[in-house]
Amino acid sequence: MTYPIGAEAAAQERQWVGRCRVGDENALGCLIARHRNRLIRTATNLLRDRHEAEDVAQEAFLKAFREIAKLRDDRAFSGYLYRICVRLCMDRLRLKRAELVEFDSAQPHCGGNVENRVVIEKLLSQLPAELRTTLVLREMEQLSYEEVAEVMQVPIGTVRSRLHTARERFRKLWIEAVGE
Amino acid sequence: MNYRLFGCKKFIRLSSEQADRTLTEREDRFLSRHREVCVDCRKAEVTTSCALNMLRMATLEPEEAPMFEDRVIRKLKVQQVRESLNYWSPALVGAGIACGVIFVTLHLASVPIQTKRAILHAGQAKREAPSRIEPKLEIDRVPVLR
Repeated sequence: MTYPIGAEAAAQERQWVGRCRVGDENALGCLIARHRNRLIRTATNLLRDRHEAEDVAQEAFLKAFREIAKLRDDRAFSGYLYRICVRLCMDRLRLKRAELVEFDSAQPHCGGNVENRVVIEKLLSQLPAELRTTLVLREMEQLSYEEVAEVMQVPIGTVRSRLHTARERFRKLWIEAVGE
Repeated sequence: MNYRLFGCKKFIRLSSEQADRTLTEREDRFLSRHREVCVDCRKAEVTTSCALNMLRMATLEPEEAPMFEDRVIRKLKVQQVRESLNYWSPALVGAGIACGVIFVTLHLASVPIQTKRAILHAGQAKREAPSRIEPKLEIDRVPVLR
């Protein structure tokens, strides 16, 4: 998956990746600046925790830069980075699900209905990591089936069935939570 | 009476896929026909749509992360140093041990002979230490019986 960026920006990114391989700090900074918002946003929506999302984004950058020498295609950097981030989020979700889910009421929310957010967070926490990730990537991040499949490294058919199951389960949970 | 019609599963699947792709005319016709006759599916469709709308509305926007780039670059440097230390640490430990052995060997080789003698004397002195005094039997004091 590549970000929807122009040809010029893509060429620039290839240059930055090439410079990163030889340890250019400015290029590192440029790559981080370009991708950080999207990465943090996705992690925030998956984990529902801004601080944790920032940690995950940092971890994803570190992992991607550490392995940048092994990257065969410079154009694939953004997708590679995004995949790492989603996988890290899924790992954390799996760990979290085993623990007691608590909503952090002290966490600030900007705009939107707070009650709705609380309900949504509780419902999402009851879904398995795979279903939750698929649902969030599709509904919140507005990724296409192909993009979700690439990020999660599963076939498109699996994405389709997971999404269908996730929507159904989410609907049932929603009915239980708010009543018909 | 509340009953399930044939094709409810198909309706739910198509209703879910409707959001992701353009349905064929046939599929569309099926959906509208089924919607008219099946109350449960109609309700389910409305609930799904409402729940998903709420989900979309609950999207969180990230906050401004100050100095994010600097923090990542700093961590990357620390990580690189740590990795290189981990890589070289067995060699460093080996070199340290070798240095220690060489130092001790050189030190022992340069110890003067007098010191060795002193050590010998000390050993001897220890051996020459007065032994335990054996109790003397005072035979003379034993009275002789005549």
